[in-house]
Amino acid sequence: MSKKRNIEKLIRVRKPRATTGDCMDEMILNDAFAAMDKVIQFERTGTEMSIGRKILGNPITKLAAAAVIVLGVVLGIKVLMNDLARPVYALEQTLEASQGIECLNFKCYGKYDPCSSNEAAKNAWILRDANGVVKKIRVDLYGKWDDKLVEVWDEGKFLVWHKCKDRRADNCKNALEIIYESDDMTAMMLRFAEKHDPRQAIEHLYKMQKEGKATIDIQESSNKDEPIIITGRYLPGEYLTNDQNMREITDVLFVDPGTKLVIKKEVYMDVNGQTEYRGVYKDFNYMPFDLNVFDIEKEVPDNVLRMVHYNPDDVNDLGVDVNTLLVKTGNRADKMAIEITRQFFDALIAKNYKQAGQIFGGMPADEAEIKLGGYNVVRVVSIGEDLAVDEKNNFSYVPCVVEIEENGIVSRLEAKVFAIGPVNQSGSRRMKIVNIIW
Amino acid sequence: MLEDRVLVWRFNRGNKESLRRIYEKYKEDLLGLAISLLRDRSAAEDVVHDVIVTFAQGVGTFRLKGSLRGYLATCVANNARDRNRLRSGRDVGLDAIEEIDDGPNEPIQDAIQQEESQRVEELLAKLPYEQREVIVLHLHYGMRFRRIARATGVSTNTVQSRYRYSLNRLRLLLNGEVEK
Repeated sequence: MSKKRNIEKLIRVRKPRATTGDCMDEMILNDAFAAMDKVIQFERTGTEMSIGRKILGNPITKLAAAAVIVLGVVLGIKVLMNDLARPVYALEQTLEASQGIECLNFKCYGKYDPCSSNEAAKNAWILRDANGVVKKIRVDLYGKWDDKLVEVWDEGKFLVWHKCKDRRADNCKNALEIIYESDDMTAMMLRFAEKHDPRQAIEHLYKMQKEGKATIDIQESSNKDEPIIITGRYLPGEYLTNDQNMREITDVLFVDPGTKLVIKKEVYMDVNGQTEYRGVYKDFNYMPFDLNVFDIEKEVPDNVLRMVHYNPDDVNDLGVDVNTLLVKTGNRADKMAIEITRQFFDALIAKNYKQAGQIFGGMPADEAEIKLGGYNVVRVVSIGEDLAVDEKNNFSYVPCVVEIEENGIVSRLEAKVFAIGPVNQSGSRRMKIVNIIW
Repeated sequence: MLEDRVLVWRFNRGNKESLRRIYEKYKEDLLGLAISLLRDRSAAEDVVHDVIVTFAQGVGTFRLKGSLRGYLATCVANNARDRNRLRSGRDVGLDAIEEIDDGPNEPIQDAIQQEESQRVEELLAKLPYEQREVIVLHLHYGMRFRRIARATGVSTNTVQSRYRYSLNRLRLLLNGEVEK
């Protein structure tokens, strides 16, 4: 049985495909068009002769035929007038209808990118201001391991929460990461909005058509309830993503004939000469939604760890160099989290907020003074052992006890300091504190 | 496929662009099939030419019952069979065909599979036309035996027998390489 399957598989993988040449294409299409013209011409002539014979054959038929012709002409004129009266759709109508729309929610289902890389679906919300500038974006990605990645971009602040029930999920940290001042994340999220927002899709298509890099075909049904179908075919490398390696993409946009807004978008890709379905964006909703959808810090349960990162693109200024920590710990890597915790509290006690902020995820000094200086730490009582939380990501926490002073009264406070390091995998070997739970 | 139905609908109303799109969409598939069957690129191009021109002559009356791809593939198979009866079996080099990858694989597996399947492809060319036809239509084009039987004018049992016989013969020709 398995032998049979083997040989069948070997034959299947050699599925043949041959490339045709321009000359062959031209010859076949010319002959095919000529054959088509011939048939159409013949049918027209044949039909005309047949009607003519019937009319000439009998006076009653002649009268009836004349009446039919008169009726046909009258109806034809009426239909023509209706058609002329009915406005013909143009892309500008959708662009105009989209002006001033601030809220957009849609869902995306697809086997591959552009929706996702693992057959997951997306639910997305985009909020713009009155000038059309993107202010907030939320994307929920559903993974195959019953996990969910929630990404929120809120005017420069990026939050990502990997909510997972199954440990098989990739990068499953079950933590909320709050990232400030990341140009990379901002660019990524704005690109998402640009790529998926139907208004931008139409603007791009319109521009590409003018530059001869895309073709547009608009199908408008005589039934006023049927959506208008816009088929936009991009030349390779000219799709919304600006990816030069992107193959020929076809967007099929379904426009509501009443509102002129896009209600659905299907994406197809040219793969080896075959048009392959890639995904669908649907359930476009332009009505205002609850803005709390962007406030995931409230949504994330308290027991989920918060990790804070500032300015992660500029890694050189973050945290403390691992070599410096190793010198202090006598080359004990397992003691580095303890050492960075000590240095952090020393900086706080000395009210050196610049240094404390730098150790704490790169937080700016003025913000560190408000957020961390408010505790007024005066002494470190004890620093416990480094406890690994996630060895894969070099993530651990250090339990400690400090004394704080408030209105002249000194009290003890337990704190858990979370450290992560090295900070990134791009050659930098730095460790930083990402959270403190008091 | 929805797009095919729309294309056929428009084609029947005399839209040449639809005919062009249908041709562009399936031309490589059809040429690949014709080359697989005839082992002669020039004859295969003629087959595709005849099939597309005949299809164009059906403007206004063409009714799509199944898949357009399946319909056109059957036309190519029929035309190739007729041509095969008339010609002497000239073979074409295998480099006339570009095989399609069936999905990602481990590199080493890929290399082994590639080599073995190339060998099978060469041996496939040595099979009698009727046997090669069944193998190509069934394994490359996913055509069911019943449909192949209808297209070739023989019984389903005959097609199944040809298929089994072809596989056994390929196995013998491979001289046990695959069976290890």
